[in-house]
Amino acid sequence: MLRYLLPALIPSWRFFDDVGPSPRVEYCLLADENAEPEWQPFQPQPEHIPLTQLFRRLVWNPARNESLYLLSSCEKILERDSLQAQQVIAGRIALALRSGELPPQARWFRFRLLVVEREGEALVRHEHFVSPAFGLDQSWGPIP
Amino acid sequence: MIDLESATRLCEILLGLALAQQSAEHLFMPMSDRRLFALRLLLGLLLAVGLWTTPVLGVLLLTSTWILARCDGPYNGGSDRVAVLMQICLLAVHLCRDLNAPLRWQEVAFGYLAIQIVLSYFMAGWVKIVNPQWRRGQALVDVFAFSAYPQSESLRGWTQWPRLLFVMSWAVMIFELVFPLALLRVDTLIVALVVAALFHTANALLFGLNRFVWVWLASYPALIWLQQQVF
Repeated sequence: MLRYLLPALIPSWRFFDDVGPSPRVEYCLLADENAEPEWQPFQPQPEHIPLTQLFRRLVWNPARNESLYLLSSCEKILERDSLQAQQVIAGRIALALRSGELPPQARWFRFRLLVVEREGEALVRHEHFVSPAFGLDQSWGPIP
Repeated sequence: MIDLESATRLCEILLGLALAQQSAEHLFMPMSDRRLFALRLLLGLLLAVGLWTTPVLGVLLLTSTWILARCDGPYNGGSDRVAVLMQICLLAVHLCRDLNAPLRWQEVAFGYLAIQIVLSYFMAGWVKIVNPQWRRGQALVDVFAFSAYPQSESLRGWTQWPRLLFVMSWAVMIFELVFPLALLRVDTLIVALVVAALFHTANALLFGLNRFVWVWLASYPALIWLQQQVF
């Protein structure tokens, strides 16, 4: 427990010190574990949010805060291949598929992390991580 | 003048409301443990109204620690860390009171919170200004260009104004670095806190970091108290 409390008691305060490669989550549905993937973005950002809605989000923004946690999970996978973070992202995708948020058309899914970064003047995307196949009937506990 | 008791009480009210707001959000998140956050919502409200403060802070801190372990770190980055820091310091103040410890111990615990909040601004400015990407304005351009932080794709249009982003970068860095000097006088501190609140609000509007607004605001009474103690 101390390793979680100490960074709160003695913080480093390194906010936005560097703008590094930025992850994006994509998922694909699979008829079986070996099927060819057709990747789709998971929870893509909306094209535009009206100003009134932006101000409402000052006091109520559950979806965004969850997506920020998924972003930090992506960063843990990029930094140290975190199994816990993989489970978090897989669990969230599975929940979306089961609840009808996304159309479930198969019994398996994978996700991958694309990374967007600057190379000179251009922005480039490349695949950094591909998950194993997860079954839709696998169970995940609540997080947090 | 704001005395220690009033300052801690104000922090507790604001922190309680901030934690209640976060917990209410979690009740609408599909993955979250709704029983846990219903409890934290209740605890946040109890903290805000000042009932059973010591045990409420104790249970809040326990559940916060459990959440940190469950999520392998903070759920929401810096805002969770400040919220936990506030819980630790306020709990320390109350334990000192309940155990009739010397007043100085309460002041040290509360003062530590205030100093860490001052450092949060200064260090954030320092790590930016030593980075050539921030000094050139390129870092903020990249935040809008390709980071996952802009709440909508249309906000990436800010990259079309690199000179504006250059000015904004330097405004943020200078504000964060000189923030500690605002404590020299109470009127400059109030102005600095208003500017800081606007800064956090802008981050919330652009990047969806709404929790930072309420948690940092909750800590401001500690800074006002510290300014009057030291200067």
